[in-house]
Amino acid sequence: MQRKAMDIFMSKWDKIIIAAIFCVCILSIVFINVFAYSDKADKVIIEVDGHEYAQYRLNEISSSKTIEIDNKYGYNKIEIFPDGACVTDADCRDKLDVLSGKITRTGEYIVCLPHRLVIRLEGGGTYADAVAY
Amino acid sequence: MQMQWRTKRLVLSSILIALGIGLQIAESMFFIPINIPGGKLGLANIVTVVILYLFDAKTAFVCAVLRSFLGSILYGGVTSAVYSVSGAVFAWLMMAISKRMSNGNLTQIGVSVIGAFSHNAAQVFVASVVLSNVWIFTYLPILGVASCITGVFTGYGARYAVKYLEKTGLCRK
Repeated sequence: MQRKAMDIFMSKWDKIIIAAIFCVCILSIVFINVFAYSDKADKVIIEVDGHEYAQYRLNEISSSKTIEIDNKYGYNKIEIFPDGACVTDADCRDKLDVLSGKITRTGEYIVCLPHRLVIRLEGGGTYADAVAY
Repeated sequence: MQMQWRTKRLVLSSILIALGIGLQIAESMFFIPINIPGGKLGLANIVTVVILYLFDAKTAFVCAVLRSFLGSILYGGVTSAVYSVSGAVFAWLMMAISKRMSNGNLTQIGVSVIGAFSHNAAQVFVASVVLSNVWIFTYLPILGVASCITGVFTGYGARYAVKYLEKTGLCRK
């Protein structure tokens, strides 16, 4: 059976749409990586269900610190290092928070959706503050 | 004939909803080698695209909501149902608009990519509301690149499905 060539390929509009979405996404990935994740983090904030649960300064941690969160949403084990943080254990189904690895830069975060947990890094004092005060 | 057509449409869309639920559950059991948190193949979106092209936007809406709700209740739970239904509804809205606006210039592939991207956008939005954290939107571009790739594949799936279903003559008035 002979198939028309038009049946297999995408139309011109398809290609334009796909290329547009692809380019915008790639550009914003580059943009986010250059501007948002630039400086070194010095504070880790743990949020549960939109509220701040705990906050640690990274320079106060000598080798590592383990925090266990066990609430009605589920169980997570978080490890904080002097240069970042990671989730080492969780009882959710897909364990995506464990798989996302260690975060080290300001603005990066680990999310565990089923447990409503967000761990993010912040750069508290910038150089301007340090000079001014 | 009107009655017969409505019965036909009812039976066919029920079969497609059942197929969609099956695909939705099957794809969450797959092992995906590329590890993107929240990324998935979106096989169930094939069914929405097929119904959108075979029948009309109204039928596609009902089928998308039912499929995502039943599929996530059966496998995930109430939390995943919120994500799934909001994603499916927004994906349906964008796909129906783009199909109508393009006047046939967009094939199933383009419509499917738009659907995949808007599904991800809706889920990121719901996640940012649930966690009350706007920073999650920085994750959307990564999901967007993934949706371009998976959308093309599901689009081809939908395209061939529509082509052969139209050939059977089952979906004609």
